[in-house]
Amino acid sequence: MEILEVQHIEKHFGDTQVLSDISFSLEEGQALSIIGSSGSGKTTLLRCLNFLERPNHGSIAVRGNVIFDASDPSTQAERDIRQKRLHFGLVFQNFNLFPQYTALQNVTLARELRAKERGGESREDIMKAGRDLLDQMGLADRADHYPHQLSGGQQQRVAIARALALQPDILCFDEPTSALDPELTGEVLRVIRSLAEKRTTMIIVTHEMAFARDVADQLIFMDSGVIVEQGSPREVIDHPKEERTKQFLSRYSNH
Amino acid sequence: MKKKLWALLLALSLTLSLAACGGNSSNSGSSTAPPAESNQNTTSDDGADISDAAAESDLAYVQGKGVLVVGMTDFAPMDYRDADGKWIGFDADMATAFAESLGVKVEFQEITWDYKVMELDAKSIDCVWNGMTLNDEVKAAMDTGAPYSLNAQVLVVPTEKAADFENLTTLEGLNVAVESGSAGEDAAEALGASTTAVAKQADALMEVSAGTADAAVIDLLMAGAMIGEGTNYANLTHTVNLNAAQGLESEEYGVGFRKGSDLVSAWNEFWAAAIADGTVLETGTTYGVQESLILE
Amino acid sequence: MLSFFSSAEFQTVLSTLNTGFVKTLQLFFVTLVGAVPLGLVISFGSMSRIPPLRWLTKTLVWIIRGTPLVLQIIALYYVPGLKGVHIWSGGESGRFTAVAVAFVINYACYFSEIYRGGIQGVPAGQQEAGLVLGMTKRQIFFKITLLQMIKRIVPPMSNEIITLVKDTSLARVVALQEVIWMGESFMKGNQGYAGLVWPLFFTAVYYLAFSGVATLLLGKLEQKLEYFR
Repeated sequence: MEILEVQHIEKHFGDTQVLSDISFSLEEGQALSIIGSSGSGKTTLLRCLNFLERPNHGSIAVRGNVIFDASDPSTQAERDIRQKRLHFGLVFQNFNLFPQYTALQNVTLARELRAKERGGESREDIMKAGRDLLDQMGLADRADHYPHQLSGGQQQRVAIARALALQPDILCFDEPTSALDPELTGEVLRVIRSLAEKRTTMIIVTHEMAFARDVADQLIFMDSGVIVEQGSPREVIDHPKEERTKQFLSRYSNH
Repeated sequence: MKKKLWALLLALSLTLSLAACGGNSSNSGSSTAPPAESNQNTTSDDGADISDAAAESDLAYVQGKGVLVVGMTDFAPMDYRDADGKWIGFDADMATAFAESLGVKVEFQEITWDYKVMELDAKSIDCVWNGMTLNDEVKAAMDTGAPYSLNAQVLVVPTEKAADFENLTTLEGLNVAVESGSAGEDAAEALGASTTAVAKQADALMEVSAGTADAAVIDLLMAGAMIGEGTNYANLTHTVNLNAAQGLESEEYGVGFRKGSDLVSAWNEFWAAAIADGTVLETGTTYGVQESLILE
Repeated sequence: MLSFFSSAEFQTVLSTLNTGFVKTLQLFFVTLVGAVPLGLVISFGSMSRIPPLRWLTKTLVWIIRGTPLVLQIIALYYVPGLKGVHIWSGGESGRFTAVAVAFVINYACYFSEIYRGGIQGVPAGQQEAGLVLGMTKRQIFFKITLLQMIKRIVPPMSNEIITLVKDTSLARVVALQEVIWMGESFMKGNQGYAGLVWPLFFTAVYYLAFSGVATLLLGKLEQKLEYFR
C-alpha cells in the first residue's frame, strides 16, 4: 500500500522557484533516497513534508488521507498541523539535540509532554522505551551523557532515536552524515541500514552514493528544484538516462 | 529617504518641546517671557488654573485630607532632626503650630530643593517652609506669606586665611562653592566669582574644608549654626556679608504656597497672632535666631 | 579606632544608613522582580510579527534607553501631578512607588534587549527540532529555548544587575531617602550631628558588600549552567 503520495508540489521563496511540480509516492516499508547537488531543493522538499515550509501548490497524502492541499485551506489549519507533523520524523544534518538534556531526556521529552497532555503512557513506560531505543542505537551506556559529551556520530544516533520515539510513519533524514568527520559516518550509516532491514519507511537525502544504492528501494535525482530522474537505485545510478544525472554522477564516480 | 528622516526627526523634536512647554505652563508667569502670542495663551490658561484652585480652596483641600505636608530640607537651625529623628527647629516648630491652628496633622517631607516649585504644583507638598529666601524665582512661582525673618549671604573661608578676605568688595578671581540655585549663587556671581555649584550648602562647606574651593557662600543663619568652634567645621569662619558688599538690603525669609492659595491669608493671620502672643519670639530664642526675626 | 566604632556617633550614623540601605534594597528587589518578566514581554513585542506592535515597542525601548533614567524619574513623579492627575500618594510611599515604576520600565527595556539577543542567539534548529517532535510554541519556549537563553544572558544580566545596585542612588533626585541621601544628611545635620563627611563615603561599604554578594551569587548561577554547552 502507498503510505505517502506527493503530488505537484511547488515552492518558491519570493521570486526564487525552489521546487517545481514534485510528484512521487512511497510504499510502506520502503526506503527512498533523494540525491542531487546542494541547492537542488532536496532539503526544502523534506521541510515541506514536515510542515517546516508551506508548499505554494500541490498536495501531500499519508495512507490515502490528504494532510495538505495548497488549494484547500481546511487542510492547513494551524491547530491540526501539530498532529499532522507526527506522521513524519526528521533527523537534521546538524543533529539539533537539546543541549540541556541528557541523551535519554532528548529521546523522551516530546513523548512525556504528549503523555502529560492527553494521558496514556506512564513515565516508566516512556523511559523504558527511550532506553530501548538508545540500546538499538548502540548507546545504552551513553543515556545519561549530555550532547556536548558525545561525539558527532553518537549525537546523530541520539537524534535518530529521538525521531523514532514518536513512532512516525515515515522517517526523514536530511543529509545525516554531512556534518560528521569521515571516520564517524560509518556508525550512523550502519544504524540507518539496520532500520532499513527492519522495513522502516524512510526518506533519506544524502550525498553518500554507495550507501544510497545499497539501502534504498527507490531513488530520486533532483536538480534545480525538479525531479530529473527516478527509479530503482540500480537504474538511476548505474544506467542514468538523463544528461544531468550523468554529469552529477560523474562528479561522484571517483569514490 | 534622507529628507523623510529629517522630517521625522523635526516632527519628533517638536513634539518633545511642545510636551516640555505644556509641562512648564503651570509654573505660571515665570520671568522668562515666551513669545507674545503663546504668552497670552499661557496666561489665560494659568488664570483658569488659578481660579480653579481658588474655587476649590486649598485650605479646604488640606483640611479635607487632614494633613499639612511641609516641604523642607535638612537646614539647621530652621529644620533638622533631633537625636530621636524627630523634626525640630524654628521652622519645624512653627509649622507644627500652624498645622495645629488649621486642625490638621503636620507631615514633614524632605524634598530636593531645586524642585520645590514642581513639588508644590504637583501637590506632593502643600507649602515650602524652610528658611526660604524670597527671591525672584520664589515670588514668581509661589504665593508667599509675610516675610518673617531676615538673612544675608556670607562668605565662608578657612579661619587662618580670614584676614585676607576682610573688606573685600569683589570676588573676582576666586573659586567659590555655592548651593545650586541658591540666593548665595546669585550673590557670588553678581560679585564676579567663578562658582562651583553643589547640591547642598553643606557640600559647599565641604569644598572649602577640602581646599577644592577658595570660599563658600551660604546663609548667615546656617553659617551661625554649622561653622566655627564646637562644630565639625571648626577651621572655617564667615567674613564678608555679600548683601552689604553689593549694597543690597538683607534678604527675607518667607513661607511659600501654591499660586492663588487661600492658605496664604490663613498663614498671615496665624503668624500675626503668634507674634502677638509671643510664640514667635519664644520659639526663635530656643533656636538662637531671635535677632533675625521680624516681629512687627 | 575601635572606640570610634562603639561611639554614639558611629552607632547613630550606622542605624540611619541601615534605614537608607533598606530603602535601597527594596528598590533593587522591586525593580528586579518587576523588570525581569516585563522585559520578556517587551522583548516579545520587539520581535513580534505584527509590525505596529513591533514599532511601538522599539520606539518605547528607544525612548527609555535614549534618555537619562534621572530624567524619567523626575518626569514620572512630577508631570502627572503638574497636569492635575494625582496618581502618586504623597509622602515617602508615593515617591517610592513612582521611582519603582520608573526603574522597572527602564530596566525592563534594557533587559528586553538582552533577552532578544539571548533568544535570537538560540539556533533556529532548536525550535525546528521541537516543532517536528510535535511540541507547541509554548512548550518549545519553556522546555527548550528558555534555559538556553538564560545561559546566554546570565553574563550580560550580571552586569546590568550590578549597575542597578548603584543606579538606585538616582532615586534621591525626588527625595527618596536611600542610603546616599542618608549619608549626605549628616553633612547638613541629622540627629544632632552636622558637618560629618565620612557617612557619605561610608555608604560605599554597603554598595561593595551588596554587589560582592550579587557577583558571587550570579557567578554561582553561571557555574550551575555550565553543565551544558
